[in-house]
Amino acid sequence: MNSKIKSVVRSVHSGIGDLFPSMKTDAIRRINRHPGLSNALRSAAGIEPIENPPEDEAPIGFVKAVRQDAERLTKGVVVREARKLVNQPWVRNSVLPVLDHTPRFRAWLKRSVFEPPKFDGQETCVGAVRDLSRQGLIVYGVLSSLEQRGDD
Amino acid sequence: MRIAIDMQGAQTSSRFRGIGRYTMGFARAIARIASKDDQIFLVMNGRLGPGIDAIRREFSGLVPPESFKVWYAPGPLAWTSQNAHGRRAVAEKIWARFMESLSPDAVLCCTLFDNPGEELIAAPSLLPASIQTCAIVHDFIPLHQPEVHLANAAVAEWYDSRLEELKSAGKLFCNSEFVAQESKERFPEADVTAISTDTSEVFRPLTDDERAKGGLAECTPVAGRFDGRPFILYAGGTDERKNLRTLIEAYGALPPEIRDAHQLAIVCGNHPESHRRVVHMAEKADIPGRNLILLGYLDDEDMRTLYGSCELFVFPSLDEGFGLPVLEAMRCGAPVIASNTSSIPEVVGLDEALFDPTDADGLRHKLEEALTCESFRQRLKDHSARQQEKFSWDASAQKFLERLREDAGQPHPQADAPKPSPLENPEDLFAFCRELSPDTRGLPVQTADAIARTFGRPGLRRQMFVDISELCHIDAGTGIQRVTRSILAYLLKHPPKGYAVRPIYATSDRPGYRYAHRYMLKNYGFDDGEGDDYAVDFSSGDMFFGLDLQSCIVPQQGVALLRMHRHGVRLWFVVYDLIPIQFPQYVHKGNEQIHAEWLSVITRFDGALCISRAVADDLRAWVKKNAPERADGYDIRWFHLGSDIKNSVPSKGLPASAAATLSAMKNRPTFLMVSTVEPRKGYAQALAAFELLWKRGADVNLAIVGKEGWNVKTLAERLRRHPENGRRLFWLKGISDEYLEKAYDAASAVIMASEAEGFGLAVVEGARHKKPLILRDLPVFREIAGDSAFYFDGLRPDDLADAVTRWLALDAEGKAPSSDGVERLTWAESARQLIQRLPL
Repeated sequence: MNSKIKSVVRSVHSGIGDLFPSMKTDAIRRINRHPGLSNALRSAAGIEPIENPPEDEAPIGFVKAVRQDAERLTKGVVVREARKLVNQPWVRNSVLPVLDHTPRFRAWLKRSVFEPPKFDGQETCVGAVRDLSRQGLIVYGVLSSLEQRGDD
Repeated sequence: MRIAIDMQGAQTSSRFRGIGRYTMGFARAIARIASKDDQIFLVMNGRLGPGIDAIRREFSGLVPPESFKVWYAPGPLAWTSQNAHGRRAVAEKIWARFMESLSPDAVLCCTLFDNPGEELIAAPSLLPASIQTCAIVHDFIPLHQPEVHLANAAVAEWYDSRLEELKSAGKLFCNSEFVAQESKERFPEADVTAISTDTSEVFRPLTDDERAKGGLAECTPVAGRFDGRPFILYAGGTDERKNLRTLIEAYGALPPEIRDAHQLAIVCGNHPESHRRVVHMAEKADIPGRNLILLGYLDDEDMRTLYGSCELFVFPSLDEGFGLPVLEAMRCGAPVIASNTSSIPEVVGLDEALFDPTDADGLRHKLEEALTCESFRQRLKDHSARQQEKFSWDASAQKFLERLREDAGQPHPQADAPKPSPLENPEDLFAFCRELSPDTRGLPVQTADAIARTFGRPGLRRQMFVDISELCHIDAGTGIQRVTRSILAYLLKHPPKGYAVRPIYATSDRPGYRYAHRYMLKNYGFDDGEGDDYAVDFSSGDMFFGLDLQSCIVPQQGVALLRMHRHGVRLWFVVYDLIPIQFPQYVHKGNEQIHAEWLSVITRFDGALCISRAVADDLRAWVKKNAPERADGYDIRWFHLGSDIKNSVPSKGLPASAAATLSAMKNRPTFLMVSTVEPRKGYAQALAAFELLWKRGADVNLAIVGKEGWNVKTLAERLRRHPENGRRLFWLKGISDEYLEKAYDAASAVIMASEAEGFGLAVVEGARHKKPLILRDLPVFREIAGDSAFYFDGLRPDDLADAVTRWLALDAEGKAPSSDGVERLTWAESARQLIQRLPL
C-alpha cells in the first residue's frame, strides 16, 4: 500500500513537474511553508524531510506561474514544429524567403531552431527513457524493477 | 602486463596545472617505454569531455586507438554539489567495475586528490586484491597546515575520504624522497617507492639564435615590462606557504646599489588579490615601483624565456611535495637558489644553493652573494645543467614499471578474479544493479544510460553507422539522394570487412541518432535486427559515416556527434560541394550560413570524403581559412561517383506521354540537360542560346530533365509558356529513373552549363550512355572528363549557341570528342573506391 502511494505521488510529482515546472515550484514552495504537510508528503514520496520552511523560497504566485508555464509550453510547441517544418524542402523553398521580410521573427526562429550546440559544455547522460539505447533500456528495466522491489 | 591508467588528473580543470601536466607527462612516458607485451589503457571520465579531446590528441600515434577507454556516471559528481553523495557512490562503483572489466594487472591513479569542486572519481578500495592498485602521492601539504587548508568541515571530510582511498592503494609512488618518507610515516604498512618526476619538454635552455633574436624582447606578454636591467625571478603562488614575503623583504634589504641594479620579476597568476598582496609587501619593504615587475599567467614557452633570461631564480617556499619551478628553471639553465626545507634540497642538490626560508637576513646574504659573485653564479649555472639531467619522465616510468614487474604474476590466493562487464549476462547485470540500487533512486534513466555506454552492448560487431537522415525523412529525389541510395545499397550487400553496416538517422526534435530500422525494413526489406528505431549503441572503433547531406540536422546533433567522437567513434562525412559558400547568390538567403555552420561542425571530427578532387581542394582552402588549427590536421580525401542508374535503386514508371516525347527527341538532334532547374545550372543561358539557334534556323531540340528548384520562377514560367514547349523544347519534371535512362538514350549530346558543381552526375551518366558531352570549362569537369568532352566558356547566350554550332559542325565531320575516355564508374566501383579511401 505504502509503495503504491509513493509511486502515485512520484508520478504526479514528475509528470506535472515536466509539463508545468513553474506551477510545480509554486505549489512546492507553498506546501513548504507548512512543514507538517510538506514532511507528510515527503515521507510518502520517500524524500528527506525539512526542518523549517526554506527562507529564500517565496512562492512564485499562481497567475505568474501559469503564465510562465503557458509561455514555455507554447514556445516548446512552436520550436518543435518549426524544427520539423524547416526540414521539409517545400518549406525551405517557399516559406523561408517570406521570412526575409520579417527579419526579427526570422532571427528569433533561427536562434531557437538552429541554435548550434555548445561543444565545450559538460557531458550529460540521456534524460528520457525514450532516448535510451536498446542496451540502456535493458539496464533501465532492471534498475526500475529493483527500485520497485526496494519499495516493497 | 596490462596497465590501466586513470587519466582524470589531466581532465579536470587541473589539466592546466601541475597535476594535469604530471598525469600527461608520466602516462606518456609509461606508454613510450612500455614493452611490446605491455598493454596500456588510458581510462577517462566521460563527464569531463574537453579533457578527453586533449588526451586523445596528446596520445595519438603513441598508443593504439583501442587503448582509450571512457566510463560514464550520472552527475553532477563534485563533492560540493548538492546531494552528491549517492551519485558519487554510483560513480565509484561504475569506475571500479569498469577498471575490473579491463582485466588489468595494475591500475594507476595519477591523483586521488584534486579539489572538492571537481568531478574526479577514483576508488581503489573497491578493486579486488588481484589487481595491483597504485596511486601517486604528490604531497601532504593540507595536513601540514590544517588550519589553512582544512578549516572548512566539508573540505576536511572530503580530504579524509581521499586519504582513506590513498591508504587502500596497494602501492604508493611518490614524486620525491621527502614525500616517500612522509608516506611511510603516515602509512607504515604501505608499499612506498619514490620515483621522482619531471617537467614539460618545453623547458630547455634558450638557443643562441633565440638569444640573438632578442629573448625577452620577443616574448609578447612581457615585452616592454623589463627596462634592460638584469632581473631576479620568482614563479609560484602568493600564499603564506610560498613565503614570497621573505623574498621581498630580503630583496628590499639589499644594498641600494645592488638592489637597484636588478629588477624583481614575480610570476604569480592573474588573481587581482594576489597582485594587491604583492604590491602591499613591496611597499612595506620600501621597494621602488620601477624595480618590481608583476606578471600574470604565462604559458610554458614564455616561462622558458623568463627562466632562460633571468640573472637568478629564487624559490623560498616553506613546504613542497617536489618544487617543480626549481627543476623548470634548472632545465632552462638558470642559476637557482632555494630554501632548505621539505623536498626542495633533493631537487636542488647543492648545499651552497640553499638558504633558510625563515631567515630574511640569511636570504639577503645569499642574494647578495649570487648577484655580485660571478663565480658563484657560474657554479650555480653549471650545477643546474648537471642536476637537471637526473630527472626524466622515462626514468620515473622505468622505476614504476620495474616495481610493478617485481610483483607481477604473484598469486593472490584470497583475491577474487576481476569481474567482466556486468552486461555479459543477465545475472551479473542484476547483481551489479542491485549493488548500485540504494543510490540510484531518482536516477534510473541516467544510470542506465551511463552503464550501457560504459560497458557497451555485448556481442556487437564493429558498426559502420551510415547516416541517411534526409533519405529517411523525405527522399528529396536530388542527385545526393541518388548517391545515398546507391552507396547504401552496395554497403548493405558488401559491408566493409569487420563491420556491420547500420543505417541510422536523426531528427531535429530529438537528441541523438537512431537505427533506421523501420525505414530500412519498409523500403529495402532489410532487417537490422533491432526491432525498432532505438537510439544507437556505439562503441570505440565504430565509424559514423555522414553519407546524406543534412546541413540543418548535423549542427543540431553536434553534441550527440561529439559524444560519439569522444567515446572513440570515428566520424567521417561526405562533402558534396561548397557551392552555398562559394556562390551564395545561387542559394536561398541564409543557406550560406547554414552550410558554413555544417562545415564548422563536421571539420571538428576526423575527416571528409569529397566527391571529387576539386571539392577536396575547395574544402582544404576553406579549412585553412576558417577552421581552428589542429595539431592532428583534418583528413580530406576524395572519391568519384558512379553512373549506372540501374544499380542506384532506381525509381520506375513512365507517364502516358513518354513515348511521344521520346519519339520527338529522336527525330532531330537533341541536347539533354539533367539537373534541378536552379540559377546555378545555367538553364537561362541555355534557353536563350537555343532560342538563338532556332532563330538561326538550327533544327535542334533542347530537353531539360529536372524539377523546379528555387529562384527560377520567371525562367520556369518562360519554359512553360514557351512556343517551342512540346515541339523542340521539352521539360521533364520529376520523372522516374527509368524514364531518365530512356531520355539519355534518345539524346544526341549532354550539355552541362552549370557555373559550379561538386561532381556533375550527368557528365558520367551521359558518358555511360556513350553520349558526347558539351561542358562548361570548370576544373571539376576537366577532372572527370579530361579531353573526352567539348568545352565552352562565357555566360552570354551566344557563347553557348556558338559552341553548339561548332560542336554540330565537328559532329558532322565525325570530329566531335567522344566521351569514351571518361572514367565511368559503376556505383559498385564508386562504393568500392569509397571503402578503400575511408580509414576503416
